[in-house]
Amino acid sequence: MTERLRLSGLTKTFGGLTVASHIDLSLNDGDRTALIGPNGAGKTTLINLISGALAPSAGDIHLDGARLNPLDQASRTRLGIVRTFQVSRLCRDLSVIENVSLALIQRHRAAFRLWPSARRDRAIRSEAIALLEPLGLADKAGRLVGALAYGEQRLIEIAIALALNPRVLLLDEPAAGVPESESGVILDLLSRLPGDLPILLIEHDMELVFRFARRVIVLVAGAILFEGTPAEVAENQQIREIYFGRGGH
Amino acid sequence: MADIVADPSRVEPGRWRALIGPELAVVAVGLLAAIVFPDDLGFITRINILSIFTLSIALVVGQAGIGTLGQAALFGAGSYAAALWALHVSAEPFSGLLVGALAGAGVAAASGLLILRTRGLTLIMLSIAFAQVLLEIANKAAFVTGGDDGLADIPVNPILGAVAFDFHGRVGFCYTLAALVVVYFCLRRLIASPFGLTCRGIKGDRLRMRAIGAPVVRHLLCVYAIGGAVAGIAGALSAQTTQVVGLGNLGFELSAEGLVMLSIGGVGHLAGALLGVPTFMIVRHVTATINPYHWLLVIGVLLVVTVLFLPGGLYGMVDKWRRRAGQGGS
Ligand SMILES: Nc1ncnc2c1ncn2[C@@H]1O[C@H](COP(=O)(O)OP(=O)(O)OP(=O)(O)O)[C@@H](O)[C@H]1O
Ligand SMILES: [Mg+2]
Repeated sequence: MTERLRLSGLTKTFGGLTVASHIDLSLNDGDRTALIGPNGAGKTTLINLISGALAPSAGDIHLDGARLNPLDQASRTRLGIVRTFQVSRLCRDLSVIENVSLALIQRHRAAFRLWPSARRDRAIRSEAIALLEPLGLADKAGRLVGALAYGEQRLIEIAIALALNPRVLLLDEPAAGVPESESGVILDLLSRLPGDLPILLIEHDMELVFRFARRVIVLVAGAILFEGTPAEVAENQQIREIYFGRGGH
Repeated sequence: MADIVADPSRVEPGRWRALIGPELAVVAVGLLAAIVFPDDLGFITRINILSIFTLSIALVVGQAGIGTLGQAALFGAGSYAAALWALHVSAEPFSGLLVGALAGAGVAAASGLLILRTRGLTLIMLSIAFAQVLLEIANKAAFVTGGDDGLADIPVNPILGAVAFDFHGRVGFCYTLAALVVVYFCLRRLIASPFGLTCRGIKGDRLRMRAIGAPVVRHLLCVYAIGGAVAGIAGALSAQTTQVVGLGNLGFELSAEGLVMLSIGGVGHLAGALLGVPTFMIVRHVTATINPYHWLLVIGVLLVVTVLFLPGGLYGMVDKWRRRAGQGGS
């Protein structure tokens, strides 16, 4: 198995607060890894560090052996580090298909084309529809995103991520805010993604985690507390106390 | 989805109307105004020029969300550059437009490096400050710019060496109307391009755009420079048709007026500029003729009414009517 992403000694402090503490982690081809941990453990921060939204206080990030630290967020995305947001961030005044097209335009390096071309428009449009179709959103392509239900907006987040042709996919609670009846749609979607694409999934819903992940990482107070298979995590007494002990999840 | 599978060789009906329909409407309205009011060609020419200027604001503010109040700096740069070019190098009008466009784009790119890294109130303040600094430089560098007196007697050669600018302003009117139509066409194409959509995306959510790999500041610089070129062309046209350039071309008042005119017409659409400018100019002209002291009040009321009752400006209202009519018809 080839290693795609490697974090070594990744550390982030906000003032005196350490939210990522010496994190060592690899994502290999085909990894289906879930990242769990209590609220405020630093899960989203870790995605921000990997994607370049935050600069680490110490430690390194490598993609395919190349050091990513000096690159900004946009450059990392162009290399295939793709993330979704815990709270949807979409252009609400643009239509569904425009939101997806924006990502396709970036991927095709067409964003500085100053003149429209009917052929290019058609190609991008059909590619966008092909991404929306399996999500059941093709018939809403022309609707403004702001007018859609939040659950549907969560799906568009994922469609945008896939439009970018990711080499590493970082999903921050994709099912958060989706009615339970519909979270199955997201799991289906995840299971249909290319088998070799490494995915890091942050998720509170343990059922989803256990169905999706082959490896679970438990993050507590910015440090990796435990790493193992879903079964091992379920059996671990310490995790049960820290995590499941809070009840609810 | 129908248009994806459509046979590419099929000529869509209405395709030409979509391609140049709005430009034809501008030409028709412009010519009609000139025929009905032949004694007001100077005024109509001014409307043409300010429409180009306000289109540049519609691009920068309305499409890309760059909330600037310093657009006059780019208009002024274009007008001084074109005037100096005509006085010292060549009075050929098209080269003057090119020089004006380059000056506007250059000043925009230089100031953009500073301004576009900020947002919101900071950006507004910086854009005003930059325009004031430029105004002060133009004021102090009197040996080049004429300072407070400005530059006068700017020469213009006949267009293409054949059509001379006349006393009545007929040629000036046609020249500026043609420029307006060309600029409008190019900007409509620009905002329909991937670049234009990207600008609207940046206006919508910058963080989202970074997360999909967009170099946000570079995009903003690019659109700001294009807006600067358009404002510079407007400035150059002003220098060529009035044959004078003064500090007012760089002033805050012009920037603010442009934004007011756009707000009246509708910020989110290029057509907003083309509706707002004539409305503003005519209302001001008429009220100032009736009572020279109260026109500002009337304009103020007009602005408040549009902001409160017409959120999409005049364009939004017209668009709603058109849609309703379209629904009724089919
Ligand atoms: N920009 C910031 N400045 C200061 N503190 C921050 C910043 N971003 C996050 N934090 C803090 O870092 C800690 C980790 O936050 P983070 O959002 O990574 O948690 P999380 O594991 O994603 O939690 P949740 O499950 O609620 O999403 C929190 O205590 C948070 O308050
Ligand atoms: Mg989080």
